Order: sequence, then C-alpha cells, then structure tokens
Amino acid sequence: MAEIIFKKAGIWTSLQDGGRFNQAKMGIPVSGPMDSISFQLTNHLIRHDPLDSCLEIYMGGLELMFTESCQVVCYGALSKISIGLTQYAQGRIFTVKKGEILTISNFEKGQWLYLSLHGRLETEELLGSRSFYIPVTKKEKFQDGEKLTFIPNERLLPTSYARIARPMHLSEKIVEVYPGPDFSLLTKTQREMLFSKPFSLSQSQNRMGIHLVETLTNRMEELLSAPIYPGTVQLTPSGKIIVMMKDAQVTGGYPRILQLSEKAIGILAQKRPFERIYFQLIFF
Amino acid sequence: MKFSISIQYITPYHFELHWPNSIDPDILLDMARVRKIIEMKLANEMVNIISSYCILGLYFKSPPNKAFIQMELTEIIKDQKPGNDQERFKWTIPVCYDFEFAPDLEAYLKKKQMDIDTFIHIHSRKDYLLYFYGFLPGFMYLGGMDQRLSIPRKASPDRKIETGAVAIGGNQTGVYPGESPGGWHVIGKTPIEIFHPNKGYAPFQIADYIHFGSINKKQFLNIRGKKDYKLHKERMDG
Repeated sequence: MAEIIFKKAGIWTSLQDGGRFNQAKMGIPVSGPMDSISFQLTNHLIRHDPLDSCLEIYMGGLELMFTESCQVVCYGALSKISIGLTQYAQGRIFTVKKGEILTISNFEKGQWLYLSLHGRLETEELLGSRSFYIPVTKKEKFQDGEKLTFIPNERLLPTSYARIARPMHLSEKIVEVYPGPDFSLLTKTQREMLFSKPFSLSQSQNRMGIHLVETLTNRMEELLSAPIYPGTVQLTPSGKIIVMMKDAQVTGGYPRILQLSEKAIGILAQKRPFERIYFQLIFF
Repeated sequence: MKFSISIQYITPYHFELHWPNSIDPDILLDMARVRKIIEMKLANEMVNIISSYCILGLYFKSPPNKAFIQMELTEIIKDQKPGNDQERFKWTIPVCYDFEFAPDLEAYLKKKQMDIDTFIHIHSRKDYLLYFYGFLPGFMYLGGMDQRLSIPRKASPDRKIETGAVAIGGNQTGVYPGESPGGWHVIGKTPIEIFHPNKGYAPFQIADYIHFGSINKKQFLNIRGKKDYKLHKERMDG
C-alpha cells in the first residue's frame, strides 16, 4: 500500500476538493480551497478534474516521505520544493521516488500551496466531498507522523521542461468586490473610506474568515440573519470588517456590505497579515 | 401572490430572493415552498441554496444566464400549486433541566427572578418553529420563544458549550449540536444526538415544530444509554 508519511505536517495541512455542495441546508459550510486559482491550476497540471482533491498547505514547513514512487506537482505560494539537494520549480511535474522525502520549505511569499499527485488519494468522501471540516470529517488537519494512503497511476505523465509562470496573483493588490446586499445601507463617507484607502489583513484569520486591521466608523445595527457565502464581507456594529472564507458559517446577522469574486478570494487568501490590499468596486 | 418577493442580483454566481424583512411563519412557509421547487429544478446547478428568515440565497456553480434565471425564478415565485407543501411534523426533544446538566440555570433564574417550575413550564410549553439551520452544522434557528424568557447574551462568550446543551440567548432558544464556544446561557441538556455530523443528518425539517419535553435525571441517563431511542413526533395538519 502506497503511503505519504507526514514526517512534518506543517501548521495547517488539510485535504480540499472543490467543496461540499448543497449541505448548507443543515448548516454545513461549503469548504474547498482558500485559493482556487492555484488549486485549479494544480489539478490542471496533473490532468485532474478542476475540482479534484489536493493537499492544501499553509505556510509550508513540510517533510513528506513517499513509500512508493509517484509523480507530483505543486502550485501556489512560493517555497523551496526539494528532494535532498535537488530543487524543483513549482508548476512542474516531477517524481518522488520510493523512500524519498519531499521537503517544502517555509513559504517565501503567499500563504497557501497546493500539492497534487498523479494517482488517487484514498480518503473518505463524506456528504459528497473529501474536504476536511470538523464535525463532518474527524480531523481538520494532518498531524506529524500521520499517513495518507494513495494509489499511484502507473501510466506516467510526460514531463516536458515547459512550465507555467509563477502565480501572478500573489503580488496582486487589487481585490475586486461587488456591492453586497446591504451596500445601500453604507453612508457616503463609509463608501469613500472603503474605496480610497488601502486595508491591511490582521493576524486574526483562518479558513473561516479574515479580519482586517482598519475599521469603519459604523452606526449600523445587526440585521436578521441572512445567507453568507465565501467572500461575503461583513461589517460589525463596532466597525470591524470581516471577510468570510471557505469554512465560514452559512448565515450571519452583520450587514453584508461587499461580495468578493472567487478570484478575489484567492488573491486575498494569499496575502499575509499586515499586507495591504485595495478594494475595487465592480458591478454585475 | 401573498408576499412581494424581489430578485436581487449580487454577482454572476449569487442571486437572492428577498421577502419582506420580518420573522414571520407565513414567510417561512412561502420560502419553503419556493425552495422546494428550486431544489427540484436547479439543485444540480447550485453550490448551495441558503435559507434564512426572509432571504433565500442561491449560489450557483457557474454563472447562469441572467435572463433565463429571471424568467425561471419569476415563474417559481408565482407557482402556488398546493402539492408543493411539505409534510410537517411536531417533534419532542427530551430536555433535562436539572442544575447538574444546566450550568447557567441557577444564575439565569436569579437574574430573571423566576422559580424553576415556572421557567420549565414556560420553556417546555411552546412549540418552536424551525426556520433554518445555521451558525454551526445542525444548529436550529427556532422561532417563538416566550419573551418572558429573554436574556441578553453573555458579554464574553464561554470557551466551551457542551454537545446537547439547550440554551437561551437574546430572544432565541436553541440546542448546541456539537461542542462549541458560545455566548448563550445553558439552561438544560438533551440526551439525544440531534445531528449526525458525518451523515449530515438531523430528522427535523425546515418548517417543522420542535417541542421540549421535560425529563428528570433518571430518564436522561436512561435515554442516553439507548442506541435506538425514537423521537416522539406528530403530524401537523395543514
């Protein structure tokens, strides 16, 4: 049985596929990749379905031992990806041989990296998805020493030396937003503040949401609980701005002032605490 | 049409149907009707259909044609065929109000200047309407709590509220389906598992009624020991 052994599992490595669809009716979030731009490219490179499962790695610091040879590809945050002294570029398919240890350094830029292998990861599908989410799945991340079973594909993929460019969105500072359902409740001053100044990400962030550092003076009260989607921007009564991410609850009572596109969610997710972004209003 | 429902276009992927802004059992039933038709017609195109008090959120996998969706939704809103009404039940969830299982009950009663019998009577007398699930997987938003039981949420939330805790926060009451931090006052506990996490299943449907049946400690332990405890349910007429 082929296994990946997490010698070092990193801070937050989980399995994510396209998401758990049509379960919000029971209050279950959609989950799925924080940065679907990188996620889908990873799947594309290894010739998988765009919504197939990948390892989602937060901030790096991994050592993965493979008990069987397998072709892999990584894409997303910038890091040194190596086996022994040999370094591999991201976006390029390479083989980890039986018994070798694949090292993924602490990230140099960005926060999320996706790893896919040419084969099938053997994990349980629950409610139509393999994405980790407690309590649907038993765990939320991999621990040091854990094992993950996989079935390598025997028919190897051609490994041409052509490779794709580095992910441009890691440096992108513009986050495109649609007016949220409660946008009309914002005052003129609040709107001006939102689109004239940069905002920085705080350290308070996880797969559920990202709190921004800057606040907006706000007199809006809580509303009746309404739907929340990944990328919904909430404004709390104290003026805090929270961007809801993939594991966010499905309803909430704070005004929904903006809505990020899927691409904008990926751009924002790759920004580190204290990095700055600019909201740019787009219309549908 | 009973209510005026507006279609809101948020992004190419997100559409919403807005009912008048209030907590109203008739809106809930109307939304359940619309939701059911959308599920039948469009479930495969959706990432999620999200219910709330007066907004139904439609989150598509890929951008649908705006004109087509507008037409479909307008038709669905108008579709008043009675056959779309779901079968509704009233469920009894057993709750033990013993201080041993209700860490905040003593302080709550003191604050409310209420004796325990009156409290149990008021809390377990009502039938609560299940509006939707949210906040946590399997967490029910229940409407209809007697306002005499209202109490502001705790200023700072507790780090851990236990699975099965029955609690009151503001004008609402609910059951914690799993362990979670929370700012509500825990006034009882149910021995039953109301939500099977990895099956994503709770027997209660949107628009069903929930009734809390008071049980003593002995009954609590007895029910908790049973693997096949059957919840009491009654069919609602109309």
